Formats: sequence, C-alpha cells, structure tokens
Amino acid sequence: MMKRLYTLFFASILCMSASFAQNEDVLRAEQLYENQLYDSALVVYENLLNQGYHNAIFYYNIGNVYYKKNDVARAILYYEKAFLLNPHDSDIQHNLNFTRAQQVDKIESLGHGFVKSWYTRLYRLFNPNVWIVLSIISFLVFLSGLALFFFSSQLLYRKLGFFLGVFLLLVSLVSYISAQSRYTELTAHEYAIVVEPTVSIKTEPLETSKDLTVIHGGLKVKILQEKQDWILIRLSDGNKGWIEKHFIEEI
Amino acid sequence: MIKTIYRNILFISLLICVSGYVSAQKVSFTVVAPNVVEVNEVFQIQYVSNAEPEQGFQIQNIKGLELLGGPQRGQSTQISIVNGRRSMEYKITETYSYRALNPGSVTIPQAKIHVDGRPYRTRPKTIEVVGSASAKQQYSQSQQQSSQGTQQSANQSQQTYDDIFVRVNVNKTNAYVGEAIYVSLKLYTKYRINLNEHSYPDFPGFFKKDIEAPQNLQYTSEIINGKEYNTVLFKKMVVFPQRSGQLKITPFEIDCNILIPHSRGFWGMQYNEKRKIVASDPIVISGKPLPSPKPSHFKGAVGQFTVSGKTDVVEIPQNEAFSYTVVVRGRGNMSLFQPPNITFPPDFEVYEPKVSHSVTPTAHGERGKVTYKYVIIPRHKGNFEIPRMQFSYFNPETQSYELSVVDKIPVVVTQGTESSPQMVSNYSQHSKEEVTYFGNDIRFIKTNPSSLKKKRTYILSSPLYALWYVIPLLILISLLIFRRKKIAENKNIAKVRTKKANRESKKRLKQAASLLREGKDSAYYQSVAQALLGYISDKYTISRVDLNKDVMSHFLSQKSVPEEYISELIDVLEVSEFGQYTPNPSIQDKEKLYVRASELIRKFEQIVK
Repeated sequence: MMKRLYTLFFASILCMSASFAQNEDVLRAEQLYENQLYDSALVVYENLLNQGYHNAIFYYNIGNVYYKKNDVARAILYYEKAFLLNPHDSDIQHNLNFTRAQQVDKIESLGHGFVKSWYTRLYRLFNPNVWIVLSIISFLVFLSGLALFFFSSQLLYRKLGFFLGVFLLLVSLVSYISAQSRYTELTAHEYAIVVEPTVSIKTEPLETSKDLTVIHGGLKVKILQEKQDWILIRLSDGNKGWIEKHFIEEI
Repeated sequence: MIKTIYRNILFISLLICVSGYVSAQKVSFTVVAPNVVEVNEVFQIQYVSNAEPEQGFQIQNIKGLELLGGPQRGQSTQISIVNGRRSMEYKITETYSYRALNPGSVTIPQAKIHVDGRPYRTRPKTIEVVGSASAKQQYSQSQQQSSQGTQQSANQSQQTYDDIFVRVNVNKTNAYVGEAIYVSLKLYTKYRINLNEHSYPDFPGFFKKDIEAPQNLQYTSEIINGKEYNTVLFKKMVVFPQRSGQLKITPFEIDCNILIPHSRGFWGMQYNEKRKIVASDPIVISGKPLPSPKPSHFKGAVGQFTVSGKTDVVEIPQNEAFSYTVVVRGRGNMSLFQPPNITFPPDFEVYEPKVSHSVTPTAHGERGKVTYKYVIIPRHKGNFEIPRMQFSYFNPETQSYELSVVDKIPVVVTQGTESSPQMVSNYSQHSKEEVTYFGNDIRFIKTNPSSLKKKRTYILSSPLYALWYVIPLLILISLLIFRRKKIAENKNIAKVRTKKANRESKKRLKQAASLLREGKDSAYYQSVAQALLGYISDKYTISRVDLNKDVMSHFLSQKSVPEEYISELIDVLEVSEFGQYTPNPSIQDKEKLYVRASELIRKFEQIVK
C-alpha cells in the first residue's frame, strides 16, 4: 500500500517537472525567435508539437518562423492549422490574410452561399465537445418534457412538456450537427496547402500525363481522393487534377 | 602520249636558300587530298612541309588505293611584303597520284618527317570513295574489251570526233526525299580542246550543296569502255530530293573547240580548230516518299544523327537566364530539318533558339553539327526538369525511323535575390494577383501561452457518446410501455367489473330478499348496502376501501351523475345503515327499501351504459 502511494507521488512529481520543462521550452523558443534564430526556434516548436502539444498558439508561432525564413507556403500552412483550431483569434486571422495575399495564384473562387457561411460561423462557435454536451443535455431535457407530457394528468404540465420538448429536440439536433461538422473539420484533414514553390497539376495520376495547370506554393486545395503517390485535388474554382503527394501538406 | 603532254608541271621552284628563316618558323606538315573521289577516279595526294626534312618524307602505303605515280617533288618560296613587313613562305611538296578501287572510305595514314631531330606528323585523313553504278560497270567492261576497243577508236575518232562527251554521274537514281545523292559533272575527251562555255545542269526539286568546284580545271585520266580518256572534273556536289516523284536533271552542256593537229611547224604542233557542243543525257531520279506513319517527333531529318543536350547550370536563382543547348551531330540533310520539339516547364520563359550550322558537304550529305541554343528564364523557384527530348530521323540505310534521345535534365531554381516574391510576368495565362498589403508585416508571435494543452480528445471520436442518447430514450420508452400495459390491464379489470356490476348487485339483492323473508333484519339491511356499494365500486372502478359517502358523492358528481340520483343513493345507504340498528322495523319499510335499491340500480344502469 505504501509502495503504491510512493510511486504515485513520484509519478506526479515527474509529470509536474515535465510540464515545467515544456514551459521552459516555450520560453526558450520565444527567446530564439526574438534573437532571430529562426531555425533553432523552429526545432524547439516542432519538438513540442511532436510531444503532442496541439495548440493554435504554437502553430501560429511556427507560421511566423516560416514567414521569417521566407517560406510563405509553409507559413500559410501553419496559420491555416492555427486558424482551424482557433477561428476567432484576430492575430491568426491577420497573419493568415497577410500571407495569403502574397500567394501568387489568383483563382476565381466559387464562393459560398449565405446559408453556408452563416452555418460555418455557427458551428465554429464551440469545439465539438461543447456542442455534443449541449446536444446531450438538451436531449435529456427533451426526454423529461416528453415524460411530463405522457405522465402528467394536468393539462398545463402536459402543454408545457410538449412545447419544451419540441424546442429542446431542435436545439439538440442543431448542436449535434454542429458538433459533427466541427469535428469533421478538425479531424478529417480535408484541405491541404501546396508547399513546393511550383507544381504542375496533371490530368491523370501519371508523371507522363498532360499538365492541366501550374500552381504555386501556399495555395489551398481540397483533397478528394488518394491513389498511391498521387492525390486528386480540387481548386477553389472547381477544377480537379492530380498532384504528387509530397508537393502538398494537410492542414 | 597525251597524258605525258598534259601532265603539266605544277610547281615552279624559286630556289632561294633561306634556311635561317625556315628554322625560325613553326614547322607544319600537312596532307592535301580531296574529301570525296569516285571509284576509278585518278586523284592526287600532296604532302606539304614548310621545312626541309632531314630524312625526306616517310610515307606509308594507303590501303584501298592504287598508286599510279609519284612522288613528284617540288619546292617553292613565296615572299610577300605586307605593311612593310617581309614574310617568306617556303614549301616542300611531294605529290602522288592514286586511283580509288572500291567504294567505301579510305584513311590516309600518318606521314612523318624529322626537322631538327623532332618528329612531325600529318593528321590522318579520310577520303570517301563513292561508287557510281555506271562507273563500276564501265570499269569491268573496260577490262574485257580493252584490246578491241583501242583499235576501233583509232579509226573512228579521226573522222567524227565522237570521243568527247560529258556526263552527270550520280551514285543512285532512287532516293528518299531528303536522302543525299552524290553528283559529279565530268568531261571525257581523247582530244586536245579549248573550252569556250559550259552550262551547269539545273536541279529542279533538289536542294544542292557543292562539295568541290575546282577553280583550275585539271586533267586526269580514266578508262571508259577500254579507252583511256582525259577527264576534267567540273563539280562535285551533293543533292537532296525535296519532293517525291520523277525529278529530272537537265543536261550538262559544253561548247568547246577540238584542236586537230595537222602539221609540225617551227613553233611546235600546228592545230586546226573544230567547234563542238556536247551535252549529257538527262537523268531522272525517282524520289521516294518517306514511309508512313512518321513518328510524332520527326522533323524531316534524313541521315544518321545523334543528339545531345545540356544546360550551362544545374542551379540558378529565379529570374536569371541560363541556356539549354541541343546539338545534333551526324550526316544527312543538316540544313533542312526543323529544330526538335521540347516541352519546357510552363514556368520557364523560353526564347526562340539561336541556330548555328557547322557542316561540310560530303557525298553522304552534310556532315557536322547543328546547334540550337535556347535562352531560358525561370520565373519561380522550385525543382524543375527539362523533359526527355526525342529526336527522330529517317535512316535511309536501314530504311527505318530511328531515335536519339536526350535524357531529362533537372534544374533547381532557387529563391532570387529580390526579396519580394511578387515578380509580375505576363507570359502565362494565369494573371498574378496584385498584392494589397493588409499591414506592413505579420504580427508578433504569441508569447507565454497560459496553458499547455495536449491534443484534445474528442467525445465524438468514439461512438460510445451515442449511449447518452440511446439509454435515456430507452428508459423513457420502457416507462411508457410499462404504463401503457398497466392502464390496459386496469381497463380490462374495470370492464369486467362494470359488466358484472349489475349481475352482482342483483345477486346480492336476491340474497337480501331471502334474508328479508327469513326475518334477519340486520343482515338484510347490511346486504342491501353491500349490494349498492359493490355496484358503485364495480361500475366506477373505485376501490371499495376508499368508499365512503363523501368521497362517493364527490366522485359521482365529477362523473356527471345527476344530483338526485346521488342524493337518492346517499339516502338509501343511510336508511339501510339506520335499519341495521333499528329494532323491529316495519315490513313496509323493508320492502320499500328493497324497491328503492333495485330502482336505483336500474337508473344507474341507464345512465352508465
């Protein structure tokens, strides 16, 4: 019994010291950045990422490092990652827009309808866990309303139960769909950024096939399908083509 | 005989001994020979040195050639004064006459001299020997007919002067479009002549290049049909048919005066002149079209070629120019084909290639190289490659299309020195975005994040979250089902009781009637009350324990039972209660109660059907 307690105690101390070490790493990376030692800062940040610290701030900072290293494409990639995790941060928005403006390809975007952009703003309000808890709670309340409706002999209670139930069922449904949308957006890696400076898009997944067009580093493309070393992508103007896998990186 | 007369002395020597000058000059030792000769043609090879060799010229035999005469030695010195500077050229020559035996190529081996103890060598030189179909035939005929021919010709020639003719010799009369044909123009004569005029043939439908057009016409000897002729070579050339079909070469014409000796005078031979115009037979060459299908990379090259390509850099900053050079080497119609197709990466700005030809005409077409130099400016950084280039040509010897390939060449384009990556160029169909700056720079990094979060685990990542919906829903549903069943059950019981109520109460009333007859008053009253209460309890499914008058009246009024029935019921119940404790009630009262009770039940039966 005592032995187990000891091990628990030491384990918790180790955990704490590890987290202190991470804090030191963060401070060190910041210092390196301020001293313009971008390569070293990048190494520290990537190390943190590899340890599983999945943080919009790190992505944002890495984006800054790449921008300072003159790699606009990767800067865009990391700003996009940061934006995905935290769409409401004004610094991330600013730097992303700033670097996107330096991307050379001008592609006519098909644009989104009013409903879709409104819905996007809605589901980005919370992370999927918040959404799903909200959905579950409102579902439970809906069930209570339903129970009230069925079991009460009082007309007032029955009416109250019915309307409350219908309303909360709607809330639960919307929350659930939002949770799914946000979860998919965060985990499905549907988009990628071109990281090579200049890349040919082919009509077929073959090196010898015809070039459809040429795109440049930093362009955001949608991943549709994967076939060995080739990926079928869609540009924002709706055109589809194949690109070699190592030319792009998932957001 | 004529041969000896016309073997003119080529070299006049001015014997000025200037050995001091000679040794100061750089020693050169060269061989002079024609590039192309025909089978049976007599030609000369001359070795030239500008210094006196110590042991003479050391010359090796040449395989494939028949040595006819030589060496003829000569010396010459030329003094020229240019801008007040005197220069002197001293030459020692040895000249050999040869005849080519077989078509093919003949290499003149290195010859050697020693000057001041040092050896000097000539470069080996290759002579192409061209077989002309007609010439071969004639040569073989000449061997058979040699004895007869000479006698006949001696007689005939005196009168008609027929032993003079011109010829256009071609090495083939069937050729593919673009294939090289060797042509020589020659005059054959047994007489001494003075040339007046000559008109070269036209070659309509051909592309032609002169190989050799001697300035000074020289006589050599050749045996045709067993007769020895003096021949004059006017021109050697190579022609390429430009289209398929029958291509006619117009005759070669010569206007000359034949000198006929008639007497020997004091000044030597005296001659009469006789004018004669001779023309060659027209020659028709059939041009064959190149076989179909032509390869996609075919650009009209006919012959034998190899192609090579290289860039002058492997790595280059963006927006700086580099060059890609394609060299086509070989022999064939070098001047006639188009540059090969190269598909450069779309981001390369490529200018029209600079083309330079460095070719010499030979019997097999032009030999040498064509250089295409492309100037390229890459507009974006990245790893590019100039793709594999295929140069396709038609080889008339194998009668097939062949391919020479330049492998792909990688080019690394690095970031240019300019800091702004927005180089606007207008060459591609993608117009570039004009950059609007949102601010001057990116914003600073976010320092000191308050919390270090590990990667979030999402509830949705495991499907177990669905239990939060399913389980409560199931609970609710089972509750509902349970309640439903219960209600249904209750309803059933109530129904049975309701149905039975009438019958049951009648049974009780009957029992009460028998009690009345037996005179058991107390039991009688009790039985009537029981019958009524039981009836109400069964009819309205109320538990009998709960049943007292207040509850019952309240309940029945809720069930909208008329008020007089309720009061009647209460009254009857009260009467029967009183009756239980009243000693000796009258028989009328008892019977009346009985009637009221049965009447009441009948009334209830009517309202609750």
